[in-house]
Amino acid sequence: MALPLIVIVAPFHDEHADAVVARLYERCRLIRIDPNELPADVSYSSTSNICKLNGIHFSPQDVSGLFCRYALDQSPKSSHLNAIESFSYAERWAALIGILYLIPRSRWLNFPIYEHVAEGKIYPLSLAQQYGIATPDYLVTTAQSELIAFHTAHKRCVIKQLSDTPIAWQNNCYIDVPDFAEFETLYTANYDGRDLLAHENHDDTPTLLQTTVSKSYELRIAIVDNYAFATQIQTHDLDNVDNRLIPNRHEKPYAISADFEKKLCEFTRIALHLRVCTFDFAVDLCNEPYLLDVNPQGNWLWQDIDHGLPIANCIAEQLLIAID
Amino acid sequence: MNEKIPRILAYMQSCPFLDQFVADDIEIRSSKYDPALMLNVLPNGTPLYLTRTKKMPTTCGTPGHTLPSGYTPSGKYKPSKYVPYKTDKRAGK
Repeated sequence: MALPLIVIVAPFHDEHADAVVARLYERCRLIRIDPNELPADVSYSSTSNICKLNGIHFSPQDVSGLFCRYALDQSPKSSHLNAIESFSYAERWAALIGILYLIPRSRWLNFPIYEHVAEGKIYPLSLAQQYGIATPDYLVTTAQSELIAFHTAHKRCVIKQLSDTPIAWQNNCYIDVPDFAEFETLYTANYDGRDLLAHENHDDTPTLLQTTVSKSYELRIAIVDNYAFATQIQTHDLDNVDNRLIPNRHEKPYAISADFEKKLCEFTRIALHLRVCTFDFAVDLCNEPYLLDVNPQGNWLWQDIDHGLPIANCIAEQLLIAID
Repeated sequence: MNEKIPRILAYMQSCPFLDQFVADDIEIRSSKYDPALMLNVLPNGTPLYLTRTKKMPTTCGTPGHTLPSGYTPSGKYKPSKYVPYKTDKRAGK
């Protein structure tokens, strides 16, 4: 009997993909593709319904799982190409994407369109509320008067970015990727209204304010199909609202309740149409978890390596099961 | 005239882990993608992903050992290899 076929779509430098690949040796046939370096040999015949990628022939139905860690809705086209090169690149990209999309959606972890929908803040948090998962009140607005009203009503708020776009302040200018000199960048921060005092310096980019949860600890939960892997993050510094800024923070694996696990798995699968996702929760003093963030491709490798949560192994196992 | 900026840029904070940022980059630059193994490895053959940790580094010794021979996923045969004893910094070990 032929070994199952698994496709990994991720940048070659992606270590999360590495961790999954290492669990698949000798258990399947593997194709790993980096969309930044399009495969040299690609073919598909509608007559036979047979594809070829990286020298391996297969029917799309034969792929038991596809682990995708790349935003396939964005072509990585280089701006340095001339017209012919650009056209050729677009054709090669379309051929690759077309073949990948022939693989049944149920086999993808995750199908790109669903991931794109779940990536924002507004939609997944609103959906979570409908699903009975508590979220802090929040406001997204371009209007200063609304910011003032929200801040006045809620007193303690945090400000955070809406997208994942990188930006840094280094050597007295704004850049997207800093080098190795000191730099400042965006973390979740306590909102004190300093922007209101110098409002003439600011444009009308939408601003996200969220009420601060008086938390006793935070939870980072990775969901893989019907399995949840949780890490508790103790934050003794209550004024620090972004745990990434806490050096040597105290973390440990955490067992969430069966009901909470079931609700979160169903939310991931049924509401978000995802098979892999990470969630950030702040748990308040009454033990009520509040959903802060949804990251369809959040980092989970530190949970796997530092805390022994078998997330990479679970993803590998789920890839080997051809779900219809 | 100064360019207007988004409000949130008034709330930037210093990156507190510059040393880690630099160390990570040095490690990544010394690694390379191995097409046969389909993952990134350090010059000593250690998969890069295994070095990813937030725990504080401690000095430890790794005994000499022999890596077994076998076939890679792409069918390439790799002979066995002896890795000598070494002392290094490895987080959390």
